[in-house]
Amino acid sequence: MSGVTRRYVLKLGMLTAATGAAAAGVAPRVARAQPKQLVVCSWGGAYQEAQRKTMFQPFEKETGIKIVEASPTDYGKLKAMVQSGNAEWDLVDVGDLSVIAGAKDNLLEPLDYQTIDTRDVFPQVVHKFGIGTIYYSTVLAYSTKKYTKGDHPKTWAQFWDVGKFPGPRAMRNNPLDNLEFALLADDVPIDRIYPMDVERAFRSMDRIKKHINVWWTTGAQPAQLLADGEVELATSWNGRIFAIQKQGAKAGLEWNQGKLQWDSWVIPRGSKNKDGAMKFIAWATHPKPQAAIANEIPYGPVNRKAFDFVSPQAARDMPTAPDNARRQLMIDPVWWGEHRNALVERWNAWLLK
Amino acid sequence: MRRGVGRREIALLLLPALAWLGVLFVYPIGRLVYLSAFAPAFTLQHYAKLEGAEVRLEVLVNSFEISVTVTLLALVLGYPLAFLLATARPRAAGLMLAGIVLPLWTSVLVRTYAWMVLLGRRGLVNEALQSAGVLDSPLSLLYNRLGVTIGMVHALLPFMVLPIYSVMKGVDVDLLKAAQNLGANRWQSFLRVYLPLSFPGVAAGCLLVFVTALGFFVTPALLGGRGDMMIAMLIENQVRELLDWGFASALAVTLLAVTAGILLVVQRLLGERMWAR
Amino acid sequence: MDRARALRLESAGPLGRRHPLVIGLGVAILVFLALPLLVVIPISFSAAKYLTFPPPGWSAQWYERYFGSREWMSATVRSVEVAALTTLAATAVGTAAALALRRSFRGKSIVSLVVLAPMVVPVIIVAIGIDGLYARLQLVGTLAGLVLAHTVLALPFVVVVVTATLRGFDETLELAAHNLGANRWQTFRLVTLPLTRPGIVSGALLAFITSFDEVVVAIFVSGARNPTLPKQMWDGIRTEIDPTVAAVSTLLIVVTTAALAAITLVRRRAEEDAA
Repeated sequence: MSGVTRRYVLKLGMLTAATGAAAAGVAPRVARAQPKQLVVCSWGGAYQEAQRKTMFQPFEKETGIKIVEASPTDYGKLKAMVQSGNAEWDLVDVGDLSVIAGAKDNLLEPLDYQTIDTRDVFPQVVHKFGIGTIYYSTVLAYSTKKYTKGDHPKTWAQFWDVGKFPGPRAMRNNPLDNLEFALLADDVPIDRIYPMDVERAFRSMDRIKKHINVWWTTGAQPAQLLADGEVELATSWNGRIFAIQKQGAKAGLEWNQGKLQWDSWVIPRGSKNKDGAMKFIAWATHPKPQAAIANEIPYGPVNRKAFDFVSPQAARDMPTAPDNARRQLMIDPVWWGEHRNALVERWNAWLLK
Repeated sequence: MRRGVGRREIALLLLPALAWLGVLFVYPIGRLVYLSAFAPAFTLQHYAKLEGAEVRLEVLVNSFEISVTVTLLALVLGYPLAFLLATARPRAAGLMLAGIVLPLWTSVLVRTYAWMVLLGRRGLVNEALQSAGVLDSPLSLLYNRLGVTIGMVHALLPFMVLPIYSVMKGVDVDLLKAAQNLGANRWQSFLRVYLPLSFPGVAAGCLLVFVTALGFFVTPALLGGRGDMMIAMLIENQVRELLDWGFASALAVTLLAVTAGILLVVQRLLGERMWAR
Repeated sequence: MDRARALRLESAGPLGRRHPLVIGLGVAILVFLALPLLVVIPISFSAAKYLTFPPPGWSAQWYERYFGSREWMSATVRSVEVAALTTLAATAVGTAAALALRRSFRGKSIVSLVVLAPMVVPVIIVAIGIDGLYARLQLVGTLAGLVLAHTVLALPFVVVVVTATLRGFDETLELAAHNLGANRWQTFRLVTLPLTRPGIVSGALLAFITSFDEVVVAIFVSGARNPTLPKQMWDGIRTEIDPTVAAVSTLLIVVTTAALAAITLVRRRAEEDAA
């Protein structure tokens, strides 16, 4: 090739190569410059905002470890990233007892209970691969614009009664927050829910299926839908309704026949900052941060000493408050641990039909 | 005497583009084809799944139904607009073109989000219809087939208008004059001369809209309900949630084959004009 | 019929004046096209604490929220970085390809097909293909990964625009330059480039918008540590209940409008220069 052609092509080539090199060069530098970083994935919305305010920011200040937030938690995503060796999240707030499924699927790191102090933590939420973050409830939520005189449905049988309580509804796109309610709607006594008659539950779900306008997937949705007037009845996590009430929306919730359960902190296998994650968990399980988040959004602490620091108002709104708890159903983690994966598959197929 | 442009020079100019696309486009898609039929060993099981479970078939049917509906609506709305554009004065035509091109280039996420705001039970559309007395109670326009259709027609309308417009622009006005000299009135000359002449544009627009609708992801994912799952959503679901690469690849390859087939036909109809934006 | 009317009919073309119904329909459709973009703007200035229409009052709170949020700001920076680098790469590579595609050579139609294909293949397919590739190369979540992927998507736009510009380019000017002693690079730099600059700039701007607005590939390849702005919006639409997304949308509309206006200006100036 002649000299002039070569130079001409060379210049064009250099421009492209320079760009590629620039991109490639920036990336590793950026990655290397962040040794003290912890990627935390949680549920987004009001809950994650409360976590940010009461946990992530104070933790950063105290330890200097920068917290990078991600959302929303998704079991499928977690599985995909661990199995492909690309664990992007260092610490995850999982719900739905995914801690048990995750342990079974070999996706999690065991927790270091030398670092994490569990003396005052309710034993129920302590697990080899995860520890409780907070207690929450899935409850029946309603629009107070529509139901102004306390005449909203108070049981799941009433929620299922579209004749007496017509109007658009939203339920969660996940068997975990639905099947128990389906059985309760079918008049199964609250103390005989487990072990669950799955066939009966799905038959009950069949009855309500076509009356559901939206199958929500994220925590913010049911609250938003109620606030918008898009639906008048919904299942929802209790803290989200509280948050939107604080912002002036006309929504309310019913504790009767709610389902009490808890979230867990887990560490994905292959996490790039295991130590940081352990440190955070140990820190977050102390009474003061537990109380701080409970005061911010009404989710129950897992550390009993936290109640010394919780405000009386917050204590009343909590799902674990005695008045509220006695009207609810407590989840059975063992049963769900065994059946979760199969039921999720069945649910997905059922929903599409 | 002009210095011949060496084949080598052409090759070198094309090398960066071809290398880039070879590694990051052709190879990944080739890999999908491989995964769809050869993982683990040569098997057609992934394709069989397409007609197997009720679930998957329903998604294909949905995609087809929605794409056809969107195409027809886009045609009904797009033809008059293209006609107006083609026969407008240059100033007006420029403005109209801007009004069509701007939404086209705005992020599809922004447009879909805007529809989420507009179509709610207490959104602008419902509020306006109710205060105008047309409705007594709000219509359910969101999270269902209606919402998806509206959102997709809006997103794809420019793809219908522009091909039709480009063909209309090329219609020889003398042919119409000739028809009228031979006694046809305006309506007849439109129906029997103009309309058939604009047909290649119509066909190209319809096929383009149909094929783009088929592969759409963002709009049906945000505006649709449980009965509105489309192919792209199923592919995403299989890859992210269920890690079924074999089946996801089979779906992707099928979508790709249909897309390619239809586009070949469009290419025949429109030739180079399709690429001139 | 009098002369004025005859002239008017003549200028209206053989189909006469358009029926008012058609004009009305056309205007209505244009309103339909513009409506969503317009509606997002007032929402972004809503004084309410969550998404509600009509807004009870006006406030800049969502913009404050956006500019004050570490997550939103770093997503914005990320998108600008990715788009800028993509623009550089796509413009350089695409212009070179367009120059080559001027000539006819064996295999030209296949090359054209490959170069233009990313524009018509459904994005989801490109996204999962690249995702599969990146998973093994550990490129998920990296700047390079995003730039490489976005360049694939932006390349065809640059090629199409520059090709169109080159079609109107008089190659005898290049020949004249050669005859006057210029070498290849000088010819390109001093003759070809200035005259095709409007096309190249337009192509660059389109590449920028394509990358800046891109969401589907970003969903797969963005990573959790440092997502792009559209990925952040995608998550935000589904997990947040406040209109911050409306504020971000408005800003994106402004950016797109500015880019398109710039392209129009560049083209118009080129036409004036040519006249």
